[in-house]
Amino acid sequence: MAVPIYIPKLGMTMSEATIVEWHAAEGAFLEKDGIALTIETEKVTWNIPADAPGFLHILVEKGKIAKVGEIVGQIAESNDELQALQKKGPAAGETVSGPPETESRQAEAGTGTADSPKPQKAAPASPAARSMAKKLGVDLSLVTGSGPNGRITEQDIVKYRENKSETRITPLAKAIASDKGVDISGIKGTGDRGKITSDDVRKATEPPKQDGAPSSGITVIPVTGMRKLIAGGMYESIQKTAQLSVFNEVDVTGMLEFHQQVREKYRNTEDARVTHTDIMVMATCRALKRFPIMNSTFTNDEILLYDWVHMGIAVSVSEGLIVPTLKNADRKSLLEIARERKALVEKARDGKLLVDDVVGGTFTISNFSMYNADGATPILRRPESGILAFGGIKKKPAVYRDALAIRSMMVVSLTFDHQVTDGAEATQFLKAVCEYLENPSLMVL
Amino acid sequence: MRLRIDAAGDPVAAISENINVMDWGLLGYGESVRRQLRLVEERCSGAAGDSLILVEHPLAVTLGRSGGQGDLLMPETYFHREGIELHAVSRGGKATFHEPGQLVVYPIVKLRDNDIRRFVLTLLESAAAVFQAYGLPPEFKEGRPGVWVRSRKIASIGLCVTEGVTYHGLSMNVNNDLQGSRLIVPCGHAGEVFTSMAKELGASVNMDAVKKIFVGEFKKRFRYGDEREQVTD
Repeated sequence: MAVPIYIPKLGMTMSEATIVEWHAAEGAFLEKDGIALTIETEKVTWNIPADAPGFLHILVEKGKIAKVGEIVGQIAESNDELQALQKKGPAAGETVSGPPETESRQAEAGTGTADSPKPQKAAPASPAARSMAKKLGVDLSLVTGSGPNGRITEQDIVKYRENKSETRITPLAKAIASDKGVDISGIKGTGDRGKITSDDVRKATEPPKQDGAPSSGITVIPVTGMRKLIAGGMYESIQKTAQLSVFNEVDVTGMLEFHQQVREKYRNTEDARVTHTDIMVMATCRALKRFPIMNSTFTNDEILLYDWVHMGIAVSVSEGLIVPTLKNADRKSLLEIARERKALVEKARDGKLLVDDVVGGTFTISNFSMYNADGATPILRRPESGILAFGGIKKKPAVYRDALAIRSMMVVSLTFDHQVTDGAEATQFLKAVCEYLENPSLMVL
Repeated sequence: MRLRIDAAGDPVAAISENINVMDWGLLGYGESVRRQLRLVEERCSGAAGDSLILVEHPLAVTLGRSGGQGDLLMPETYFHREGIELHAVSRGGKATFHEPGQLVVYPIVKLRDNDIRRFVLTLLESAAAVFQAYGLPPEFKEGRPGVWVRSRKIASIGLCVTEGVTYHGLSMNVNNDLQGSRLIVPCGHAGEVFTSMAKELGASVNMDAVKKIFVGEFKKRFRYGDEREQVTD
């Protein structure tokens, strides 16, 4: 009969736990007292040992939350029992009957779980064999004795261990090998400690590839370094914030004229070369001062409003995307913004950014006008509450002073955290940004 | 919110009568884990009794079982380049940081009743009593184990239990400059502000005195005796 693995109650107020890790794969053999799984409850991880040796059947997968007493896995005594459990095992969510005993109480009482069978009685064994079995972690009830009256000897323990190591194979792999008549002695296992997996058996049954034969067509790219960092950050942002995006199309003809004037005025001053991005930073800062809720952090209990704007500016580099932070951007002139932003971008592209250059952002902008995309739904950078994306500038027919004209148009996209504020205020903020881009002279007011 | 030890107000009973208090001084994080695991093995087998370790670490960032890359504010390459230790560890919780001036305590203790929540609360109470002794009012938050002072986090916790024996533990910001907190999303809570005893008091604090008070509070709350206490380097 299968032995259940359940969530123990580790405190009066504990009601559930997260399955952090199964230490063996479905169908793998577990030694008695070997760690079967790790659970976590409020800053504590707890290793749960197997109460009996056998084959693991997982009912609740890693990452899921299970209630106290819920049966999350089972240990089958044999392969046959495992296969029966896999076909029609009890549904996840079933609980042990009665309040579960804690781990140490079970140990003190010398029994298994509420509905687990008593361990099979082991054959008699010599003291030396018992000592060896204890040392090697071998369950004597699984060893066949070769001595008088089936008495287990040291030799039997050694033989049992050798046989076990020779046949380290998952139940599924064993079934496939048996079905296809494959000799497993020639298969090199790629599983845990050389265990033969079902994939190993399948590969062994495939015909050898001819030279020049097409590959599977799949190229595997390991996710490491900056890609991994971006992936983790983006995924977590989506999970932990309520993101809503709104868009505005803005006439930036005025911004382009303003930019041209500034460029001409400072054309001989290389370190003050103002770009569209600098004007966008300034326009955003001005709007944030009018709508401080957009320059904030949501902390579950509180919303923190910042007196300063540390502007994150997305920069594309060869390894991916990095967002250096222009500190106190709201207190700087356009030329200061231009100088400092340029220095940060150069450091980013040379891989010389320091922690100080990337932490502490309160809002982010991403100018992807060079990619000619119209709009986007940018993802928030936690713990910030807003991010603006500026799309490509395109000449379009537009109504200007009540007449049709060719104007330079750009879509501005805002994503904000709906936990912090609502659509009305966010769109007002977006409108303010657009007004400054439409008429940059308003920024001096 | 104030924290109670348990519903009945009973202090937690110690598992063994004595505890071996060890001060490892300033020690690399990786080596401290290796030493802890040796002690855990000895405690599980009965070759050793309970231990309480006091230690400071060079700058290191650790990711608990719930943590991931999303909890780091810099790429892994940055940590390698700057020589900052980065460890994925078996304790509960997400990202935390260690640095000199922070007192880290690791209780290697055999639990008697498996009430890990009560153990965690009592451990936090021991730390809170230290802050209280310096006139810093400790605060607790429902469902978020840790200690805060004036809404700023001052102590973090993360434990692992195997075969009923605890390891990993608690960090208390004493004199550290909190630079490490800028590398992570602390404990998964964006916007968390950290503080230290020195920052709150406006002057550095005698670490030996803090250790002494903590050990006293820990032993009192977990009901350990004094007979076989050893302080070793």
